[in-house]
Amino acid sequence: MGESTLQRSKRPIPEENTPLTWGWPQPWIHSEGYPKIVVLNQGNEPFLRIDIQWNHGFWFEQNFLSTRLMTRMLSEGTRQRSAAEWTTAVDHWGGQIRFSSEAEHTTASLMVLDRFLPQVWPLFLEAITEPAFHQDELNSIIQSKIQHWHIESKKVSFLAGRQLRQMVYPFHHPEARLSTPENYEAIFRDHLLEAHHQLLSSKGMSLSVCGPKADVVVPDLMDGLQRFFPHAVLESKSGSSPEQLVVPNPSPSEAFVPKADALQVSLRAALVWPPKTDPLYHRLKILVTVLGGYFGSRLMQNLREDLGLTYGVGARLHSYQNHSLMTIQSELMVGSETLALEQIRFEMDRLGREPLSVPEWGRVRSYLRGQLMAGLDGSLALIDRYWDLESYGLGEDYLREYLRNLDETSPADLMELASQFLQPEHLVVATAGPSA
Amino acid sequence: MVRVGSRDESPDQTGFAHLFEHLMFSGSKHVPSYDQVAQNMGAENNAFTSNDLTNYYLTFPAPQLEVALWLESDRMGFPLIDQKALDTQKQVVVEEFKERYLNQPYGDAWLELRALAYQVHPYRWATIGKEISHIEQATLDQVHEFRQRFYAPDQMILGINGPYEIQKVEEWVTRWFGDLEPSGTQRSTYAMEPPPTGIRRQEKHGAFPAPALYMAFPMPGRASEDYHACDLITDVLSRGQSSRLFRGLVMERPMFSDLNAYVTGDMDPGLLVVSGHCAQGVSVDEAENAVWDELYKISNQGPSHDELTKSINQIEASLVMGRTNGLNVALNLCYFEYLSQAEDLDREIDCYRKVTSERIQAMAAQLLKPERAAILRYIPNEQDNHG
Repeated sequence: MGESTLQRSKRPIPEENTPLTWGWPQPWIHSEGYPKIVVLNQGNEPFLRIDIQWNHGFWFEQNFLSTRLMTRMLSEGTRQRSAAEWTTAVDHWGGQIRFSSEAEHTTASLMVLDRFLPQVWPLFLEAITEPAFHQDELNSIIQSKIQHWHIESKKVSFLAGRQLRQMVYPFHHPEARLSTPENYEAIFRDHLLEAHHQLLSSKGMSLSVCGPKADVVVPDLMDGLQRFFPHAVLESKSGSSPEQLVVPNPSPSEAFVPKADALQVSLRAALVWPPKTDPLYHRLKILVTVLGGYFGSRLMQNLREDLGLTYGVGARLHSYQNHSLMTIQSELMVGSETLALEQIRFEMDRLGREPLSVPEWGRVRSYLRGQLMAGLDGSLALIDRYWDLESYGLGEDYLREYLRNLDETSPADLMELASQFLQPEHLVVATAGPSA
Repeated sequence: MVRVGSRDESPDQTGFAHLFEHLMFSGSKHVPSYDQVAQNMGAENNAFTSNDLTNYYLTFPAPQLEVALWLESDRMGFPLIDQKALDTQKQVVVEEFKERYLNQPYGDAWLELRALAYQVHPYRWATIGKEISHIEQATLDQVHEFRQRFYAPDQMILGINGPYEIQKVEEWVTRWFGDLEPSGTQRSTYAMEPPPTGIRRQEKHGAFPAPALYMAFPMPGRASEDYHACDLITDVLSRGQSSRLFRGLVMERPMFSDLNAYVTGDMDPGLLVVSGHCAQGVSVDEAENAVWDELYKISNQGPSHDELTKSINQIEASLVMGRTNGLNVALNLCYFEYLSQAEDLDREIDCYRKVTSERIQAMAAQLLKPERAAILRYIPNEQDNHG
């Protein structure tokens, strides 16, 4: 194979980086009586995405599992239309509607071709405001959930993940409560009605509209909002935070869940860290990336590339209003879990003892800057990023602050942070697999 | 995209295309660490292997295009794979095999279903390989021979999506890929699958959480003019919550806790598959009979005008929304160039619009017969049966 006159060993010089800029959803100015609405007038394709979010999630439900089942049942018929009629109407116009409840938020999302918005928007609002919650459909959904539970319960990742939650969260915290088939069977239509009432009467409902013609359609959307939502809800503006749930630092511990027939061991480990709103969070995000947040991370290099113990290992941050959870997860070769845990602790400890080399820090910084750019590329990515921040009462300035942290943080800063937050002896560890 | 997948492997050396994909991250002659350079560019990268192809992809800040071409051309032309890299990646792939296929309920379904539906075609094994020993036995000589055969510019398609002037792109692509020598490798030859001559059944008994059913029917390849009609059969059956299978057999008459119909979309004749887990208290016999009822219905009467309009609108929405993702566009450009020509990506919706209800019914009647079916069933042991 010829190499001719090309100097392949010399990396080409990239074109000059242009300053990083991005569009951002803008508030829609309207009269009193509407929720907060933002508009992102961007994109080249003829479709719209509309999201509605409530500052209310399943952590605040009165009856365990009722919020998740309620959001699932929103697409199973309304007071005017049976489930078959409603789903057929939405599918007919190519609409994609998703309802989901997270720990602290509930979201309704609509994606639809521009030309079919007039048909699908009322169906979307009808499902949110006038659900039927038929007991027959609920029974089918519950039975499906139970079957799914039985399937998941055979997986070591499921067993280790549940064990970890119980070790990290105090027993009264909703995250420590683990679902069983009996919990599903205890939910009836009245529980969904109560959960639905709780959702619609919660404070902090807000909307985003995204697409090339977003600003054109907003006035039409307003009519629907007024028609379908009670006046009291529309007046509830943004900003009401859910109640705070305290998560103290858990005691360091290890637990093992036996599963005799497993062919791998699942390892889950965690530390409780400050929330996204904490000024240190930007640097903690950088730190967790160095540890296990990308392909070249310390854990991937050590456990996968050097030792071949696993197909993958990662560390990530899960954000909540009053804390974040740093987790490490991997499925490991049977018998290697002790070695793997030693290496995880070694890498955590090393980050607190040795500063990153200049080349490694350069790579991490470039990688994270590239990730940020990718996360702001395109209207759908932007609107995801908007909600990711809005959910915590944060805005566009947060991104600038993150960029500033990427520029100004030094290896010594990260080492100091690691010595404070990555202490191996504080790790909570759950494993599941065959007994040694 | 490299025109090599598991269909190009020999039966006693399966899983090789996928193993090789892992090894392509081991560095190259002029770029010892692929990942370090990619990370310095701010890039995210990965790869996947299918029956028909191996796809390496990279997303990066726009000004880095020439660096990306330099990086990719070097590993495509001058990969450095040594014994240590091979030993490590064999271990990693073995763990991937366990994680994805062996260590979860029904994880082996596609290993079993392929072997049941195909008897001679290389689609009878999955991309991960037929068995772990094939991966463990791979040698460095085999790795080098594989590279020489398939990793050359005449076996590759390059798809780029970004804010670039075409002349500049052509200049850079020529600069970095222009001196790589073609392999001259001809398309692999292998036996095509003969038409099935009778129903094939396999049952697996064990500690499964619920009975499960997988039904596969041979169907035309992705480039066939009948492909879109077959795809529409599965859309009518199971796309969206109003679809026949979901509404009928999951919600209204709950025979399944989940049920899906889909096509594999392979280059050579592929499979139309219906698969699901049985609902609590429903036997796999009852569940299978209920599916056959639905298959007979669509074989005897095509979708209504409304059903067909619904499916076309759903497909159009998905295609339009898919165009907002730059990586998705680049992958599709490669795929359609492999299939026919990249420009056909823009004509895909027209191919669906041309399909009539009569054509869907005729294809269903032709394909969805018991004597053409390969049926895999998971039967739980009595004491473990939650179904």
